[in-house]
Amino acid sequence: MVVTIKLPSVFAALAEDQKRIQMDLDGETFLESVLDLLAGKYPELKQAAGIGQGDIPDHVNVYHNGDNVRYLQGLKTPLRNGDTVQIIPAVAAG
Amino acid sequence: MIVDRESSHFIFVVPRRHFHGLYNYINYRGKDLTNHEYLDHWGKWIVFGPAEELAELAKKIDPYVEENKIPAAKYDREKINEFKLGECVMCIYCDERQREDVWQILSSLGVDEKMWVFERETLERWMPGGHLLERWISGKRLSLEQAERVRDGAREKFKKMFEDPNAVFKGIDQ
Repeated sequence: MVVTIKLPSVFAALAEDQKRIQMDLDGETFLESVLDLLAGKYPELKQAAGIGQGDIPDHVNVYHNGDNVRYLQGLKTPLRNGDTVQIIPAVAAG
Repeated sequence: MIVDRESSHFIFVVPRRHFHGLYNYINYRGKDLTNHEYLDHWGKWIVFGPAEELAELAKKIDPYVEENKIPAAKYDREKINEFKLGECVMCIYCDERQREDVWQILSSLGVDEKMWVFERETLERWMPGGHLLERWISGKRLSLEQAERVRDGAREKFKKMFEDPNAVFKGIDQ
């Protein structure tokens, strides 16, 4: 299945300037796995966004199809084919 | 109407009747929200982009705001350097119970970044200890004493604003 990761400029700059990253995954999975994969591939993004470290830090918001995953199942939010994940600095929501 | 005052960092899109004090856009199905309802239901779709693109989007949104199909919007006049975001942000406000209707309009206008933020999330982050207030304080390089005064001010402001949960929400100075 394919999941699309969308990043704003500040994070895209840490992921080879990609504002959209499509990830091919084996079967249905959870948000945590996708963030771990992303963090493994882009260490600078991992550091800046604090992803792939077992939690979602307060300074970022992660969205699943438009909803903040804090109001869903957090890192255990299940992902399906065609889903979109967005990672943004929390300041953007101010 | 688009309200562009140079003294404000934000450019607003509000109904003309709201601007003239004849209408309150913070409502749901015509009923003004109470403080309690505001914290429970009010929020925004957020959109990133260069200021010029957001200005174009604001022009497209404006007729929907006049028809009260979209309650209101605001966007950054320019990037906020302290936040190091690299882009401007537009907030398109509505009650979460009408957010999908508003999203359909935004989607028809070409918006494809779907991110919903409750206002209570934003308010929590502007409270003492909250990420946004603390980042703003450090960005301004305030002394410890000045920073504490800012925190006290924020604490007092929010306490006054929401002390009566059943009072009609009066808005936030920006």
